[in-house]
Formats: sequence, structure tokens, C-alpha cells
Amino acid sequence: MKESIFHRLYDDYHQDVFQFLIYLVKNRSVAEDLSHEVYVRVLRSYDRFQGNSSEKTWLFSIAKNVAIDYFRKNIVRERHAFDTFDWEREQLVSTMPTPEQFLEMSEEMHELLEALEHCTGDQKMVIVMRYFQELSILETAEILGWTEGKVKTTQHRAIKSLRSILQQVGKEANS
Amino acid sequence: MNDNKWNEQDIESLLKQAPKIHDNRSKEDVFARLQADGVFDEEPLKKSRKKSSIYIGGITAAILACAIGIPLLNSNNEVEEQSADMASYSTEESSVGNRARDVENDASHENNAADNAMTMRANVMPSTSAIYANELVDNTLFTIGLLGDDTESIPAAILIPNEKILEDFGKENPTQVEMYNYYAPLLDEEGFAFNDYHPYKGEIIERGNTVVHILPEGHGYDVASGTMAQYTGSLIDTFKNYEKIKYEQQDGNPVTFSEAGEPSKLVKVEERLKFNYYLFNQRGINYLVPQIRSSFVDAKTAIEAMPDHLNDVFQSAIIDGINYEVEENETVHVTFTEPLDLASYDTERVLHMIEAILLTAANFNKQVVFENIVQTEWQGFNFNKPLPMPIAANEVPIEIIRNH
Repeated sequence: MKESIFHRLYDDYHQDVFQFLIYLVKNRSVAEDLSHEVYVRVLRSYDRFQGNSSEKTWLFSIAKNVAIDYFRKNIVRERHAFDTFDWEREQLVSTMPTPEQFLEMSEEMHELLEALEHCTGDQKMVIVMRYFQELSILETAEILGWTEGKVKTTQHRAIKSLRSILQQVGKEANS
Repeated sequence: MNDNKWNEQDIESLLKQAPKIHDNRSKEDVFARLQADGVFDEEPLKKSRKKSSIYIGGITAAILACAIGIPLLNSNNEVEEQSADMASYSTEESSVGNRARDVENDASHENNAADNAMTMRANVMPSTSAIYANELVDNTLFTIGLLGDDTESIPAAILIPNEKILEDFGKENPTQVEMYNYYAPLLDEEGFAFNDYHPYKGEIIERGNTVVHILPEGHGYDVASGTMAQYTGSLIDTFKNYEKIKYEQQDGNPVTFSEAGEPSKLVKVEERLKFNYYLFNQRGINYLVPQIRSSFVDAKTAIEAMPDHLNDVFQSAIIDGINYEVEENETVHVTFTEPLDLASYDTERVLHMIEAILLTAANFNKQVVFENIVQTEWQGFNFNKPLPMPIAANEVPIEIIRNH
């Protein structure tokens, strides 16, 4: 039973979930580990999936939680505190060496992805979901447990933040 | 691309071109690892049943690579999985947590990592919510008072590209009333987590610098003091650049609101804008709003009153524990009592504090000079000189206008 569920989920969503994770953590090895963890959680709990949301948004919500747990644990280790991680307001920064695909990107794309690391966690998450994963506003809202309005506003603020960061970087480079 | 020419369209276009990144492992490899972890076993998976050497290796290598140390994680303070938002799936302890414990002593340089993390957090760039004059080069400002859940009106603004203005009006610089009558019926307020309020009932016209609201019978804006406050607050926020607002019946006579019991008088808009700003959370998004539209005589008293807030609906925009003194002459000087290191605080929170002060001073047509801040430049602000005066609070996306 679980095996057949795995095969179907893999065929339908594996590359999407993997890409989602690697754009968040920017490390292939960690993305592999986290995608493994996503399957562990999904297969443990699949019989409790009640179809309140689509299978796709359910799967991505678990992937999102796995990624946030990963960032939380890293931050928690750094701070020696366990109650202060608010992923929406913090950065979800990966200091990992970038995977080879990132190195092959154009200079502009590289700058843009670097700027994304300086956005708040909620902004980075929305950019990855909306632009890289091409998820709809409704799907993104379901995955994050937000209203559609919050998704739209956060997306808008994220683009504005990116513009501001990129312009500032440009000024510093030219000075 | 010239670094100074990044615009939102370029950024969105580039984001859409982000390359697809694939997992190079085969399906069999992914399956085999899950199988080795006992995921397909019939009996319930036991915690720490089998260590995944691949997983540990991956995490360890990655952690070592960026010199992040791992202090002891014990079971007492293990972070709970934050999955309550999806009630339909398990909240069992994460195996990532087990594995984190497995590799707890694998790396060192903890302090360096913490320092790096602090530096990166200091660089966080939440978006400014206020709008400044330099943003009007290619855009036209449309102000609008939007209705929140627990506040009378949220003063908001939309930047509309000049190209769209030309398309919509066939001219540059339409008046605010013209923009209101065109865009208000198109606002998707509920879609952006506000209450559905616009357009106003009746008709909005202008006579010179006076906005006239011609109200129909039974308009209902005055059924309670709360609805009346929402209505007037929204009108002021929407038409804040006009001198006066007048309420008329359809026969041209002044409206008598039931709350007042006598014919309404002209509202002098500027007098109603002498308020200070507070933080208000509308369904997950923070906005800077007036608390009860208290009027202050000058910027000094308005800014000095900002640490006070009346109830839990509003939060002071001033961070707890930060004290300051205010002097006002041609500009407003806000001097922090202790040297203020902005990197010590959540960036978005600091940004809200600074912009709330800037917006409050702007209500009195004053610029602000901050003194005793450790940083000389921060997030585009240069603290060596008076900061630019914002022209509007709370930018909302143009997408709130349907078919924009």
C-alpha cells in the first residue's frame, strides 16, 4: 500500500517538491535529505489525509514544514534558545555552498537569488512558491495557511524588497 | 543589466525564468533509502529505528562546510513540529529531530556561526510600507481609506503606473476624485484581506478643493458611532489632499447625521490629519494606522505620545525599552536616550518604528532627524541628514484593482 502511494507521489510530484526544497536550502545534499523526510512524514500519515485540501497542497505543506523545521533547528542551535524562531519574520538563509546549477546561472539571476536570501522568510517562501513552483495564489494560501490577501500582499512586498536590495547592491558596487 | 535600473517588471520576469533544478537520483535510489529506514514496514516506525548514514553524512558535511556548530539538543527542548495547521496529517516527532541529535557533536565554531547568522539577520530587508516622493517618477498616487476588522480606517495607497493612468483617463494627473470614481468599484478589498466597503453609497464629486459626498436616503453610515467613525476616517484617508469634505443630500442641503442631530458642517481635512501612527495587524499583515485619530498640536507632542497605546487592538510602533526625546523647529529631532544599535532588533520592527515616526511628523509637514543611532546608514536611510518625508502610508499592491 505504502509502496504504491510512494510510486504515485514520486511520479506526480517528486521533482516539484525537490526543486521547492533546493531553492529554499540551496544545497543538493540537504534537499535530498529533506525530500526523504517529506516522504517519511507523508507515508506515516497518509491514511489520515482527509482530502480537506488537494493532495498537492497537502504534500507541499508538509515540505514547507520540513524546510521550516530545518531552518528553525539551525537558528535554534545558533541562539541556544528554543522559542524565538518566527519563520515569517526571520530570514530563511542557507549559508551552504550553492549547487552547481546556481553557478551556471546568469549574473542577473545570481544577484536576484542572492537578494532573495535577504528577504524575510515569508517573502522568500512566497517567491519560491509563486514564481519557481508556479503555484496559484489559492494553492499558496492553502499551503501556508494564509488568506489569499496575505499571499498577494506578501508577494508584492517581496518584489519591492528585492528591488530595494538589488538597487542598494548596485549602488554599493558602483561607489 | 544596470544595477540601478532594476524595476519590478524586470524582477518578476527574471523570477519566472529561474531554471528548473532536478533531483539526479533515480526513483530506485529514493525508494531504497526509504526502505532502509523502514518506512514501508507494516509495523509503526520506531523512533531512531535506523540511522541513515547518508542523511547524517549529508547534514554533517553541509554543516561543516558552513562552520555551523551544533550545541547539545536534548529531548526536553526539542522543537515540536509545527504542523498543526494541517490537521489531517501526523504531528509525530520529526525524524529530522532524531537525526539532529545524532550529529550533535559533529561540528565546532559555534560562535563564528552565530556571528555570521547575526550579520545576515542584520541585513534582512523587509519592504518599507510607506511611499516616498521618488516613487512618483513613473507612478501616480491613489490614496484610499480601507476598512480593517477592528479599526475605523486603514490609510492606504496604491502606486498606479503613469502608463495605466493614461490608458484609463486619457490624460496625466487625474484628480483624486476622478481616480476614486474610476478605481473604487474595481477594488478587490476582500481578496486582499480588508472588509468590503468601497465604493461609497451615493455620489462623490469635487468643487474646487472640496470633496462633496452626495448621500442617498438610508445610507446607513450613521447607524452607530462606530460606523460613523469608519466612514469619516475613510473619507479623510481617501481624500487627504483636499481642503474640505462636505456632506450633501440629493437636494443640495447639508446632511443631518443621526449621531450629531444637526446639519453637518464642512470637514477641514488637514485638522483631522494631526494624528500619530500605531501598529495594527489586519489578518496577518501589519499596517501603520491612527489609533483613535487623536489630534495633536504639533509633531513633538504627537511623537512623544507614540509609546502609549489604548488597548490590544493597537500596538505601539515604538519598540519596548527604547526611549527618546523630541525637539521641534524647522525639522523634528528625535534623540534616542541610549545609543540605538538597529542591528540589535528585528529589522521589520525597527522599520515600522522609524516609518511611524516619519509618517507622524509628515502629518505636520515636518522632516525628521534621528540622533544617537549607531549606524549612519541603514536600509537606504541616511541618518546624517533629515530623512525624506513619506507621502503616504501602507502601500498596497496594484493588484487590488481588478483587471489592472
